Amino acid sequence: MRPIVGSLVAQDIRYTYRGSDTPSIEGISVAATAGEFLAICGPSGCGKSTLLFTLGLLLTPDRGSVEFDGIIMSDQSDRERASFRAKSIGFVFQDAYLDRARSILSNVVEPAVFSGMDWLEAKSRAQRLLKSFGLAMSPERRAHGLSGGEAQRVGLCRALICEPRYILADEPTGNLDRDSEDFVLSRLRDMADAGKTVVVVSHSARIGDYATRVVRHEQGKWLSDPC
Amino acid sequence: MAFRPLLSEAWRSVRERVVESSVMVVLGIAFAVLVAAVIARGQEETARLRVGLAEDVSRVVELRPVGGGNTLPGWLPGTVRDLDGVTGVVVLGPVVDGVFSLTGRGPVPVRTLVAGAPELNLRPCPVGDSVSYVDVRAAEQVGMSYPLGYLVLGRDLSVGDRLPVADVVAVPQEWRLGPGAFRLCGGEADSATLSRILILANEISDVPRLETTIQNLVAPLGNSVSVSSASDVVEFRGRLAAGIGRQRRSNLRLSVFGVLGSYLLMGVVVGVSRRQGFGRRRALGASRADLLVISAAESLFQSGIGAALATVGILAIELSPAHPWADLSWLPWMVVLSLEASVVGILPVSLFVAFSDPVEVLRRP
Repeated sequence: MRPIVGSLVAQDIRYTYRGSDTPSIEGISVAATAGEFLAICGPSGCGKSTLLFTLGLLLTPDRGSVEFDGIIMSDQSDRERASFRAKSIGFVFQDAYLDRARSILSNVVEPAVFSGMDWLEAKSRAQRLLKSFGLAMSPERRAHGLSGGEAQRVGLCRALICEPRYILADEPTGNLDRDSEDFVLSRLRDMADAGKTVVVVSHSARIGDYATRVVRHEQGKWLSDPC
Repeated sequence: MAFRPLLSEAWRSVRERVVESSVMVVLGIAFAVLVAAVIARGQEETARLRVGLAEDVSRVVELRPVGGGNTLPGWLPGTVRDLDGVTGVVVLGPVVDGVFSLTGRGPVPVRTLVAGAPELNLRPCPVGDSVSYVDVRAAEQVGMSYPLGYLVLGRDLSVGDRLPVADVVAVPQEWRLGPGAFRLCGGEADSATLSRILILANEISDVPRLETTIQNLVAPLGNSVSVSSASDVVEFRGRLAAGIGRQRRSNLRLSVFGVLGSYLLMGVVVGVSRRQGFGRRRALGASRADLLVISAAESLFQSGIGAALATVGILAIELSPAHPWADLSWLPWMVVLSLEASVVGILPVSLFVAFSDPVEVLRRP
């Protein structure tokens, strides 16, 4: 019997961007379970990021459904999906998307604001996470001067602040050097090993070294390779 | 939706975005200063106009006989005195200043108060016979010694000037000289007729009605009495006051729209520059409502700081000797308007982003 908690199932997904005649993705089904590190690979423009954002409930599919823990979430209201994102999904973006005008601490605790977590609790967690990710600088320091690798570590801390069951990462190593890439991917693998469901979109050849399963887009078809 | 965490987040964001917040605070102060300056100028103009409108000359209805030889009827002053809305009546004409001479003596200046005039410069006139008084400087010439009370003329008085009548009526009867005691010296006397009545209305607004009433009152006399007032001046000043009021409101509207436009422009600039941030917040779990609340709260805090600083400044100026505002009842409205304008300014972009595709917002800054 398929485990319910931590399961992410997308079935027959189609999504068309506004103003476009052709769907960006169509007929895609993908599933991940708790403790799994699923990598989605493919060339630019194949729709892998669109798939990830659909899985993350940021996009509402034209057709098909996205289930979390056995519950279809893709047809829920904006408020329900936002609440679920805040509490259960941790997003990691390609260039971290930090608010450079604000402090590192404020960036990390941002999801906690929307999940309703107590500020002091969020601050305490953020400080622990920053320390555990090797970020020794003051949390009150502005994010403006961070390097790409540091920014992505802050992004990882932000994704974990609410202790989500699902981690979705869109090209998290796209702008990083090899050492930083290794660091980020190994931490994502650690999260999967800790029981979280990790889905990473990447075109990095090295993703296969860390993923438990890879879904590839080749010659117009999506192929799944268990690692 | 829990407001407190969102408001706390907005406050932290305002504190940390120093440059953006500073610009918005300065905008808030500029708004307040602009509105305060327009209001101060308007209040000053209104006060000046009110002083002008309150002048006596604006409240006078004047009666004159038409034609050189005509006089006003003696009953007219008493009748107009009793009209509604009349503060007082000044009667000119019963005072006759002339150069007279007693038999066997030289000519002396004499002032005669014509009997029957009810008031002279708002004071009671002699009743009964007309009374004449001799200038103090001529007392000895007419065989009287000063200060027995005959003489009241000031040295610089002339016909039509205000006369201290109260002093005159205190003169004992036995010392008064009847008109017959003097002989006119060859036509040097002014007219002894009731030549002019000035009626002072209670309020400037009473003047038109009073003028109409008096015109009806003297209508039976034909065209022998002219009734005029400062109504033209009043009307002009009224138009002027309305014009100033319109101008002030127009200035105020322009200021408000200008500032609203500035806030709108600033809101668009800030909103566009933070579009990606809005998308990030959506991805991190903000609902559309959360996004709108945070955006509005950030703007409210920024403009609120500006309005608070401006209010302190305005109060300090008001307490200074400059004291430019007659009243500060507009101050709370200015603060409310400032806050509203800032929220209205940020809402269009916030709404646009909140209802846009979050991925599009996130990936296309």
